Amino acid sequence: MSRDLPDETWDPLVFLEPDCCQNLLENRKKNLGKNEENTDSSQGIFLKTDCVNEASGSSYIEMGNAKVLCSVYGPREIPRRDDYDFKVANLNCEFRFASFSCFMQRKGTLSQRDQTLDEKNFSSIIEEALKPSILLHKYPKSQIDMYILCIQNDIDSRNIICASVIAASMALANASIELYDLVSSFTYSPINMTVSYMPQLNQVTSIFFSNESNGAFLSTDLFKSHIKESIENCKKVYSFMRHVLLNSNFYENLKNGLDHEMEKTNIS
Amino acid sequence: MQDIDINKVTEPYEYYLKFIKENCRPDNRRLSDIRPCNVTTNCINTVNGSSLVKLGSTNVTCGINARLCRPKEDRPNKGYVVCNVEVPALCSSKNFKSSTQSSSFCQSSVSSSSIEQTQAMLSQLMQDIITESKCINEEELCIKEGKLAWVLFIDLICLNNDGNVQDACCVAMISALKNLKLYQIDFNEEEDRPVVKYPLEYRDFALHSEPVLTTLFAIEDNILLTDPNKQEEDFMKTFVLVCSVDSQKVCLVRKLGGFCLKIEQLNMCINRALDNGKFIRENIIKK
Repeated sequence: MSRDLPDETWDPLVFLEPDCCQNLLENRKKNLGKNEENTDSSQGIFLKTDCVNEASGSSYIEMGNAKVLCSVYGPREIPRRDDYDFKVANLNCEFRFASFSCFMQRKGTLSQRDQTLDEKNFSSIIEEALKPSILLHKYPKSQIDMYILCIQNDIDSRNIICASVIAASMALANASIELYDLVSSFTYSPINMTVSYMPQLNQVTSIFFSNESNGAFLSTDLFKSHIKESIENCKKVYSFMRHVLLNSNFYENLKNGLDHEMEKTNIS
Repeated sequence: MQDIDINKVTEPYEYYLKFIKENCRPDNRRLSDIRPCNVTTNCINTVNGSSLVKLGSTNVTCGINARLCRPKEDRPNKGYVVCNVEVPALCSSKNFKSSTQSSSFCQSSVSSSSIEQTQAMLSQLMQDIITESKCINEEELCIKEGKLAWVLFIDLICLNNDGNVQDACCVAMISALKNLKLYQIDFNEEEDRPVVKYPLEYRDFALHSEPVLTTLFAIEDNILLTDPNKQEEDFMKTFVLVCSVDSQKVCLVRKLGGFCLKIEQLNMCINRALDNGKFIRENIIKK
């Protein structure tokens, strides 16, 4: 009786007149853009570790409008299987959007549905960005699980990868897993390019850039300068991440979960 | 001092009972106290109503998506409310060590062995609270009889599980419902389609009662305690769920298996739940 569901549901906003819809979208972007100015420095980031009790390590990040929670379990033992490489740890990354995290509702619930294509895509991008930073050979025959949950999506999800990489790296450090360095990440918004970078080693772990956003091709010189700028910003983010990790005793006093007033932004 | 600390690790249950004998708990609570609880509303801007509840270090976030649908023929003038509770792998390592679970009392408990079972049970419990407490009048969710009605998708996600997820879920659900904003929608008879006013107007959503769920549990000697945390959930021998609608009425009582309780004890449960419901309604669920 209680699971008696209607066959089809619609978002109320699909019944808007087309021009109203355009208007609404612009308004939304404007509303959300208000606190986006700060994302290029470490000022616009809220970062916190130790928010999930049961996990080996966890972190929570707010960046622009993106809100991401990440927890790391492991390294834990895995039963012997043929398709695994047992000399190094097996890194498993699962990225999910909460069903209420996007303006368009996601069908089904986390446990009922499989990962959608974009979630799988994000998972692999995040995994690839973090893999080079972990000393995987120190944990043979074991598995490290990273679960990343997006609680609120940014308007065009460009900050999500960046926020997830930072959160996951913090969670790995929080779980006392041996790392070469923290991975810091930055999304260069005009061309929608995400660069993940390890400042101590001066190595870039991943660049995610697709030209689809504006259509125009980039010249190599311009591209190089963009990367340079992104790396500078990564360094700023990195110093903030270090600061948070080193001062996590301060956060220990506030260990009651996610301890702050979340910013209130209205829909529309 | 040091031997107490050793006991805490080696004999957690005996360590815990020492506190109970003195009528208090290791975390400075009395037997009938709940953990500090606070609520943040409208914390997610992609939905119509949302809230984040912290009960001790248990964190539950709730988002309500309001969508439109055509009501089914057997109930033309009613909308729908769909509750769903998630305890994702993110917040518990349970799905990994499922075979090694050896708790004596986990068959029907809220902390039951498999995570799917827990989720299904919590979802059903929240759905039952909505129906039994009659806090939402489903007929008010109808916009045009037989043609158009609201569906409220209430999604609750547990972000950090430190026991008693059900109470936190209930508080999260009610405070999100209180802050729910629905669009003003008319129905155009001639074109047979809904009309959304622009600029968007919101209408208030009437919540007829504020159910508050209270979990009480009993340990050895049938001592009753309120609001178990993760560790206490492992110790408990039985538990009672009581949902109160106001300071006099109770809408739902569940006691699933475990030890037997005396009638006086059940009465005490209900009294405590009423007091707790009053406290939460007055101090925590705010508009």
